[in-house]
Amino acid sequence: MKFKTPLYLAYGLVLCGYLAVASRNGYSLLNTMTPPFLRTSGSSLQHK
Amino acid sequence: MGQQAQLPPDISPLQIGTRGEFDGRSFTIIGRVRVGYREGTWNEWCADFGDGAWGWVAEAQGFYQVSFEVAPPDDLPGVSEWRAAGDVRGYGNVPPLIDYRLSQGREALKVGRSFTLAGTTYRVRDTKQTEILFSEGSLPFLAIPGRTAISGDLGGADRAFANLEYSNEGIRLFTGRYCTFEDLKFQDLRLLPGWTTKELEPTRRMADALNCVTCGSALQLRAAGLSMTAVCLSCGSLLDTSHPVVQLVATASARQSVIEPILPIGSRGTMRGTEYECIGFLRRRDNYGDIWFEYLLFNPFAGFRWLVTYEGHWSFVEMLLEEPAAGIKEPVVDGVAYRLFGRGVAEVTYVLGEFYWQVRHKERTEVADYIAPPRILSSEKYPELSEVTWSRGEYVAAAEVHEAFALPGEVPEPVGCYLNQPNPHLEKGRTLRWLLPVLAGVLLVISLIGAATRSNERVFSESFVSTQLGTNGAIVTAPFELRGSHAQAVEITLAADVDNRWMETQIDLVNVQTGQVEREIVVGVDFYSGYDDGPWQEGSRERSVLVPAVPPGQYRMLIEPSMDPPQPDLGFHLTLDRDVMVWSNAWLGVAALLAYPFYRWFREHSFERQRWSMSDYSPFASAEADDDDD
Repeated sequence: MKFKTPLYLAYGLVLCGYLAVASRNGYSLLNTMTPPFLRTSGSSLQHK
Repeated sequence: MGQQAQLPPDISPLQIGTRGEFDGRSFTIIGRVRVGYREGTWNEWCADFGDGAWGWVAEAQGFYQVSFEVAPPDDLPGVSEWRAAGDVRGYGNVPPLIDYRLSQGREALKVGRSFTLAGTTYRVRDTKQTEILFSEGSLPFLAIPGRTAISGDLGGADRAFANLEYSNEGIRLFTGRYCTFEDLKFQDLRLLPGWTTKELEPTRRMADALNCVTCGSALQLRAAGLSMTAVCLSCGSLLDTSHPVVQLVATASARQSVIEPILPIGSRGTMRGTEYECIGFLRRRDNYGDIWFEYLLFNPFAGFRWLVTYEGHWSFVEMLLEEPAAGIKEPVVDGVAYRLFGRGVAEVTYVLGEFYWQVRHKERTEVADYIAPPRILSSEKYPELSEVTWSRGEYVAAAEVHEAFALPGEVPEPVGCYLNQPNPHLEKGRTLRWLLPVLAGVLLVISLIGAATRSNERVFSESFVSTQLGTNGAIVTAPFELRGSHAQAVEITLAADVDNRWMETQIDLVNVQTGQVEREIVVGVDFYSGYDDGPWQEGSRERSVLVPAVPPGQYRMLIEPSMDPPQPDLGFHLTLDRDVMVWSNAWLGVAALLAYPFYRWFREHSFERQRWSMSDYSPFASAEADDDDD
């Protein structure tokens, strides 16, 4: 616990920091986490 | 006041002349009565509180009951009848009512019965027929050896204590309180060899006076005067040591093969700041077949404690001075609510050392365990003694026991999960209870500030017809500007009046200054409707797509529409908003924050399920049954 609490705190603060920067620059966490070959900028349609 | 015969010595730290304090009142011990009953004996010390006031300090099983005689109220069973008969209080007289009074006492003092005395509710905890064995010092009455009475100990809230006694002399009531050694601030205590002095072999120990009736070996009583049963270390006979004349309870042949206890009899260790000597060892088995071991620890000042071990798990246990409050399933002690974990019948299967009660091989007790990890509350009902005892334990690490008693070898790893074992994941997750809300709050503030400072400016809005293509097969829009000093998210929205068709636009976002295609975007709409056992529709005529991190600059859009089925004159509308909020970041951030706490909760929950899987009273059982029903 003595080790994991600071680790989680650091993780949370890095996450918040990233979100602050992302909010300003329009980054998308979702887009960052998606592998390039799965990224799409638009909607996929159900072609009938 | 009479002067009585001298008593055999015992290991009590009290003696005539010992001073103490009770509720701010000083007292001096001036006499003692040794009282016996079928299962053992105890000391009643007469305490002089000055100005003619006196009370009693009863000493049994390592704790104390301080009480004062009061007039019994008329509503107690038999009191008004006794008073009407003339209150025969002539100590030493033996009126013909003796047997009647004793049977009246047995009837009145049934274990579990409640009485209200001076506004306090008491419950009868223990009833026994007593007999004065010896006495010494100054006493407020003539304590004739052989005087018989029915005595009931009553307990109430806040350690309230009362004793009701029915004897040939009438009915006597004593009220007071249960106390610990520390509560009474004793001074001028007796020097106890091996405890307050360095000599280990006392000259006045009862051990020197007792011998095994089977083999004649000297009995090494370590809690002389308190021990009611002892096992001869030479021949293994179980002996009754509750009275001056040792009696054989069971021969060695009644016992099982030799077991080497982890804590040797006679070994000493310091637990929770107090040195204890291991004086007894029991092996017990319940009706489920589980086997555990109990070590009786003794300190003449602190009294008795237990170390109970099962599969490498240990609990340090003490007897409770008062019964728990509240209900049977969730008793409360010192503000802690305990939950019923199990009930059963425990049987003694091995005995070694000495004990403060008349332990018997194959002795059976009804036990119930309640838990509030790391604490455990246990009740034991001895059917033959008409008595329920409550004890409270706390889980201790095996390493602590090994260190306390300087046990050799490696500390064995506990097996599985134990009923009062602290949930290790609960401890690990404790910090998260405040850290998670704090971080979630920071994330929320960042998101709200981010949303409030976004410009959400619409920089492009135009309608098209799908056929107005340029020479390159695409619609080229007029330039528009994405202002700002940093990259930003833009949102492109397509709206088209599609009906039973889809439409898709491939959009190249081209930087006018560099001529480079900055982003390739696909956005489409589709809408279908019909009638199939009723009207239906699906899809949407408007959709948006978020394009993250687009650098500022002048841009055009190259739009290539496509659709199916084709509709040459299909109109559509495109808008572009710059510097919009990316809300998915906030939701993903919350999810990312929750991932570790959820993992911790899962581990904690799994441990609790494992713990309660051993119980017939599992709180998870009803949920599992519901799941099965589903």
